[in-house]
Amino acid sequence: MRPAIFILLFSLLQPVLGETQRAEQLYTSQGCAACHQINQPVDPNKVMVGPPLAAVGSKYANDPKGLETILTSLRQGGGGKWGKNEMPPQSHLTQEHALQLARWILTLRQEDKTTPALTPATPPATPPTRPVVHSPLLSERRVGTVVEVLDTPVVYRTYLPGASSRAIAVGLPQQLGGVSYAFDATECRLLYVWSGGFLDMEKSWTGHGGWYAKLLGAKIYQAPSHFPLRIGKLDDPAKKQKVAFKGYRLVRGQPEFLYQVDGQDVAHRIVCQAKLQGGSVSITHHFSLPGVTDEVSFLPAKQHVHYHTEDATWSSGVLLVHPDKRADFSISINLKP
Amino acid sequence: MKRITIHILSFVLLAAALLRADEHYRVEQVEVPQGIVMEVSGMDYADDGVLYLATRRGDVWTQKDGQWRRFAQGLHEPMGLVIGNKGEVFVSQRPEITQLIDEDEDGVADLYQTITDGFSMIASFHQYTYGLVQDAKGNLWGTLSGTGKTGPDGRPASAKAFALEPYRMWSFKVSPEGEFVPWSSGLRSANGIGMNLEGDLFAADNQGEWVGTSMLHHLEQGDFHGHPEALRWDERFKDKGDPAKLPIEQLEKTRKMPAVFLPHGELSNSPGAPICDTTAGKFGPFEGQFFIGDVVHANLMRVALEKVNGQYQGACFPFIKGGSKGAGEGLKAGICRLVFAPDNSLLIGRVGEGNWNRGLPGTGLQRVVYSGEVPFEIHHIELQKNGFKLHFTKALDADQMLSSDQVALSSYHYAYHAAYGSPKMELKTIAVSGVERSADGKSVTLDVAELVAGKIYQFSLKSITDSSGKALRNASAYYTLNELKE
Repeated sequence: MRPAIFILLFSLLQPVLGETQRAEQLYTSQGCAACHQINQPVDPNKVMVGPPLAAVGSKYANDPKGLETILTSLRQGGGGKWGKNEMPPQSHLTQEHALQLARWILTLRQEDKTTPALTPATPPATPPTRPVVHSPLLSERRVGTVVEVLDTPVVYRTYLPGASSRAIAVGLPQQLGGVSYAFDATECRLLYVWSGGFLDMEKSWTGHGGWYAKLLGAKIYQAPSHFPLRIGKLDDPAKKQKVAFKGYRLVRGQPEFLYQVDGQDVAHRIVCQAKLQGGSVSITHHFSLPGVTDEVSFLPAKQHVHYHTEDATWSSGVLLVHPDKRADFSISINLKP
Repeated sequence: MKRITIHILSFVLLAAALLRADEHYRVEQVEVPQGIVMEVSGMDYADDGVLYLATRRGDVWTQKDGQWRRFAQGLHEPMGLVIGNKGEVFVSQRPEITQLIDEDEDGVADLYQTITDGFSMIASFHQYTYGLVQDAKGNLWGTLSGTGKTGPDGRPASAKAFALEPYRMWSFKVSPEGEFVPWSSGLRSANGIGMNLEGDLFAADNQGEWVGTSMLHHLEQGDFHGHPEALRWDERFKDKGDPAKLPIEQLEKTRKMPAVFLPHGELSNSPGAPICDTTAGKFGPFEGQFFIGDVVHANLMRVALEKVNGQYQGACFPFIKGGSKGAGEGLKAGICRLVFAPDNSLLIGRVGEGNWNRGLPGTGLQRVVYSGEVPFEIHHIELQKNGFKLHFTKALDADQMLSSDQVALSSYHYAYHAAYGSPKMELKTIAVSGVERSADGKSVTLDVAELVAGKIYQFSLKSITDSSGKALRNASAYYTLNELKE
């Protein structure tokens, strides 16, 4: 008698177990795992595309239309219920597989129902520690997605706020000014300088990536919105210069930007000196234009900025580079605190 | 007692069969530096045996004899790296194709030289610059994925892909002079590119809208591979309005069929770059064939092509199937880039958590080592006028009777439509009417009830053994039939 009961129980249980296992296999084999975890505490540091499936199961546990809702999302795609992401229709799923997955999802429950909220009611006493990656193989420090400049310059290409999509961030160590600046590789010019930390790469390094890095600090200088170099006579206002980015060379870690202006090669170094007397900042542009014969001028900002150079003189509102300095000249901008 | 003996015996036999699976190919972990997120997005070997490896975080690493060093920093999400014919290091990053030059020969790049930025890119999570291979003439090749609509917080706002900027969803060539040449169009997101022994180019598009299942395309100049968004930048379709609204018949007529469909779920989800077996038999009997890994599934696939009426088509096979979720022994998921090492092992670069495989630990390196013992596999499938000829790597058991019961054959296709992915359409069993073994025992010709162009023929073989009694290492295959044999 007893074995008979055992066999009966076993045969009752087995299909249930089998279904779960089959559904878990489908979860991996059909690609659900690419965007959903099964059960996971909501971790704001870890951006997922879709919600944990246990959260979905918990949400619809007592909803008579729960199964239908999940099935509709699988068939037609979903979006808006959990976040801003849309799930595409899972049209590769057969009817049977979709049903197996939906039934399984409904059996899942979040392990800890007390902390599903994205923002805790009370902030934790100590902020969560982020992994410090200080590999001796790196010359910068990565604390989670935050990048800290140590004793050599850091040059990162990424999306930067206020820049074109082709942008370069440069972080300078203390002995080289301790500030950071943005160079636009489409427009071939300095955009702005900021002071404080360097970058948080979270939106580039986690999730789907491909988004703007966050400046960690405050902007202390915003360059005027025009390309500052003019090669050739200034009395031809219709002349539009064509700039083309050619890359950069690291000289003792600092970039020398390489580009062409109407075919003329330019090598451009930017030196930032912060915290001089009284907290001022100076930005020096060094330009090399090998073989240039045309007139060269530097177009200043419209607003009041103090320029300093020994290589050019003011002429009709621009800094006209001395003929013997055209191939190699420097212009400094001094910012008062 | 007798029953127990049989159980023990069958257990031993089963264990032996499992062990046999590793007799030919062994999967090994390859150490990467501690504390570095090694999301491998491009790799190649230089002639001196140094591995160059690009990561999604923008670093390029070199490695030889277990010594790691950072060669370059701060690239914008590079998705390809190739060592050129003259030893140059080329990378494809979001904004441009770049050559990294170590001018002072201290092992670290000094000059980051823009080779071309002749394509548009905007801030979009989905705009990758995939690559890279170089041909004998010095041209570089890659693909540009479609634009993903991105919300104000940087997160994907839609699963749809667009090509509002030139030349998104195109493959491209960069001449040795640095000229950017748009090459073929309609690739939604072909993660990487490969070249066969003949120098022909291939890329595996990832399943999505207009891409019913992932598929391997042969890229020829002017080809349209299927995603209509890309036609915005095709001279033939310029000024004809929204290309996604073109009549489906016109798109179907314009579209070039993929050389091989890679079945979604069974073999692939998000294939990476195809790598051609250039080891001349040192990685097994598959010279000239392609291996492709998958980012989501811990899978390696094998692709064997033939030319019918001048067009590539052929079969894909499972090669190694690994554990799920990156756990356990064996092959792990996240497979994005493959390269043959100087010792003829296959190095596997895992891109891991990032775009496709978040939540799954999936970074770093593995490698597949060939033992030298030839596996019993379907080597390739050759289309016949009335069926298929299956070529095996070894002769079949000469004493074994062959019957059509040993071949389960079915046919289906994937829908070509704007929706995301497609189920198998018109799936049906195809009767096998004749089975004939060749004189040398290394091939079998199957006569089948019907052959229809545009279908995928799925084979499942059973109880077929080689002369030593070993079963097939992988008994399934998927043949893409675009062209019928005259």
